Amino acid sequence: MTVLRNRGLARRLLVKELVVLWCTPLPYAAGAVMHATLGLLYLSELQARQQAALAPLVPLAGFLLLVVVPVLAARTVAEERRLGTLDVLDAVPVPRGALVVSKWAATALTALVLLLPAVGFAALLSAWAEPDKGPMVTGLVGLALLALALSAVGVAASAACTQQAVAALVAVALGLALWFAHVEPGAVRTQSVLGRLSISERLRSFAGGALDAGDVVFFLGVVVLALVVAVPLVVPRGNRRGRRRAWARAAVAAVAVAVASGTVDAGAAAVDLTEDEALTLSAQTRSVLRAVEGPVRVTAVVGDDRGRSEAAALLGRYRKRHRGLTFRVFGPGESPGEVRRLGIDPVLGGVAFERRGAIERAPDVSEQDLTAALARLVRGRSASLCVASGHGEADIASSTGEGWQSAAEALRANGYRIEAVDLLRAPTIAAACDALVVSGPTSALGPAEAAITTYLAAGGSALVMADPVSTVDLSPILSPYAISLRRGIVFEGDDGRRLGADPITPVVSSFRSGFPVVRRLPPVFFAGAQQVVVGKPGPGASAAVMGETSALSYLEQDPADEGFDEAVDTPGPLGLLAAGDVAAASKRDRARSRVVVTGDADWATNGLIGQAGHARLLVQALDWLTLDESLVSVSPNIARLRSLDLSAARLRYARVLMAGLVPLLFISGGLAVWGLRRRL
Amino acid sequence: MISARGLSRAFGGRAAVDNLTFTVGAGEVVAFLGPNGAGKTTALRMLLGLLAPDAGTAEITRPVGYLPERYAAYDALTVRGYLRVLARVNGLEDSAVSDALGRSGLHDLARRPVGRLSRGQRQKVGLAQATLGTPQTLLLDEPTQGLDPSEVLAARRLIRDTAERGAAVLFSTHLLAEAASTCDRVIVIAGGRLVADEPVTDVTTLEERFLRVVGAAALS
Repeated sequence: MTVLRNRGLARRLLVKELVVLWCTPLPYAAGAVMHATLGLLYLSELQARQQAALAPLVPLAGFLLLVVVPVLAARTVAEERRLGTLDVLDAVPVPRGALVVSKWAATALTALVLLLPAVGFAALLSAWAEPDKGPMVTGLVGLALLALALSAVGVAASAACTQQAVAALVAVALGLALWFAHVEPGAVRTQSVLGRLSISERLRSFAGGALDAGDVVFFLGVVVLALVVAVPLVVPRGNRRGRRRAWARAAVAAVAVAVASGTVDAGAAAVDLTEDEALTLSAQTRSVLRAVEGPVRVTAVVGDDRGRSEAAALLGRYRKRHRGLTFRVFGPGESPGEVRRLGIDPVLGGVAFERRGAIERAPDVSEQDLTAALARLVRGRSASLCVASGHGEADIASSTGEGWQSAAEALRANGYRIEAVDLLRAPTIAAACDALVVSGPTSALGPAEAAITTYLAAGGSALVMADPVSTVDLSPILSPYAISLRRGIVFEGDDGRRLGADPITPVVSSFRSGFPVVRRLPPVFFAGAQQVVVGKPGPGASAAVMGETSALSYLEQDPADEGFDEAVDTPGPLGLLAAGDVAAASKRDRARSRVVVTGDADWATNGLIGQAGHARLLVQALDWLTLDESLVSVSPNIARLRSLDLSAARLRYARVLMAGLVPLLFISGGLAVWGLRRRL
Repeated sequence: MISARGLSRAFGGRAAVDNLTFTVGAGEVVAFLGPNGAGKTTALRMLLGLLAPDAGTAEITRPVGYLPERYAAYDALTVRGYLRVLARVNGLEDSAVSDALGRSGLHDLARRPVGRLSRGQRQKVGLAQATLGTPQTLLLDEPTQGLDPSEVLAARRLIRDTAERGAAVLFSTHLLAEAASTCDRVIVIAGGRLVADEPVTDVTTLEERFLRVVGAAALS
């Protein structure tokens, strides 16, 4: 309030501070060194990444500000106190608030001027590529806020110290402590009080394209807190009573600011300014989070620092949507007992969700995996998979190339219980099976066919994988879904849609179905497949081909006689992957019966499950088959890569401009002022 | 008006100012005399509120003009720019700056940066800032140090003029002749205590009186 009442005075003091500061060599030298360093480092980053993004500049510039701003701020009070100029102002006396605010404003304005040329990088990126404008704006806003906060911390340090050098060191040390506040050896503590103080994590959020009210309030809170602390420190030391009163007022104000910013920080909304909404959780994830009741504790074990920070950022977004969700992120060596208790692989890492004594795991810190695990947790029990055996199907215990051991492990890691069901010995499928897997039977199903049909008709779901090598016709069990399998072997004639030069290994890289099974799915390939045909579904049913071959492909009926024979062969495009669902006849709690069908069974075997998007296809297919659709159709928003063609000429131009000319401008400015003052 | 009642302040157990009581009325010019370390600067700082007394009270009528012993200004600012800042600090209009520049004979130096002035010129700037506007109290610590004889005479005139405009003036000095020629009264302190508070006579009498009271205090 005092400051508001003394706006004219504060303005005059601000001008005085600016003139005093800009008549010293400090801002010119700081600007020259800062931009020479920033230019070289950032352009090296751009050269390595070839991506039109300003994000790598933000932490670099932030760290440079961490050093430069305290040096600028250190002189503000300490130097005046040393010279004695403060005594004249104290004798008046000048309102302390106006004095402190003017010193902060002058330092902050100077820091912003030093930062200004960084906009040139944004201009260069915009001229040479199509960068996402949102993160560029938020990144610069974040840096500006950091400059304001560091200026305030620097002024407070200057007010606390009698020597300028000591004040600068104290301010840099404080800045570094805030920069690394979230880091402890092998862990990221974003949710602890210290973690919330981390300015580098806040800056990362800005750099990513988020405008989080909590982050804005945090930086402004630091400004207010530092200035509130600085005010009693500029009261003359001999004036004990005045100092006591000022400290009492500062303490009250500090507590109020801390509580207010903490409250806003905890419940603040964030605006995602990325074009691809890459920082926004998908509608499906939000739906899952709405379904979560009570507290959920998440433990993420991640190997490297960068991964830990990214994990913390993603989990932070979950927490913003569900305040009952708390999380911790650490390295595998940090808490081996806890990692073991949670069943997380200590080498590969992973994520564990705990709720009411139940634990669900996700193999990776991605939105798809996290939400799927959360959805399983919401369901309250792990899904039971029955893998048909007895008719030459892949063996879930076999570690050979044709076995299913790796697929089974991937599914277990995603919370599935897997059980082999020998349909030859006992052709019945328990209703407790959430889904049935039929993986390329090679001998006639016999009574098992009826068992499968009955199971599906009663509301069961199945992943059915056919194989052209087998003579078993699986079409009868798929007829309720209007799906059938056409014998033959698919030949792909388009070089761009087959694996290498192999015409019988078609690659599917674009999926054209609304079924969540293939949403955001990486390319998959089928090494020897037959055609999956989808007819017209009956009432209450739906079915669709999710992936197909090119128009240059065909279904070869006689592999011995290669080449398209229009009399017998079927021209492409040919379905390779389909899904269908129908209304269930039973009164089980599941409303629909679903199938996912592939024209090949090899893609999920030990030899191929780790390649391309195969593991993802398996998990997404079974998630869709066993879970409520609204809980699994996770399609995270992923930022589009924006390539930058940074040719040698462009790089040279940028270096000369940003790391050469800009520093030279600062130096020239300093020399001009020096020369001008000599003539006065 | 300046009023000190029982002012005391100790540093590390040693009394710098001990039960100091005096007043300076409006329009009065009083010299504050004493040997080095007598407590003059400490007393002035307590009067200004820059230092809290251990005991006693200090009152001055504001606005106050103050010239510290080791006066420093902002080297980067011009003389006019510096005085403008202080005018704003004191709630004065810019016209007060022109008046102060005229009174102090600084018009020719108004556009020069303070950092490029000689020591004497800087001291004149110090006097100009202390006499900006119409201060009701003027506290000056060694105001004529570094000034040449003609500047000393001008400074004395400035101090008297300020007093005639209603200010209570208290200035510390080592120069008894200056005290005798400028002041209405002298206050002498030694060892932090008031040892004399009397009207000014001629300089010879003042010298004798000073040696007697300061010597007596030292002996006691």
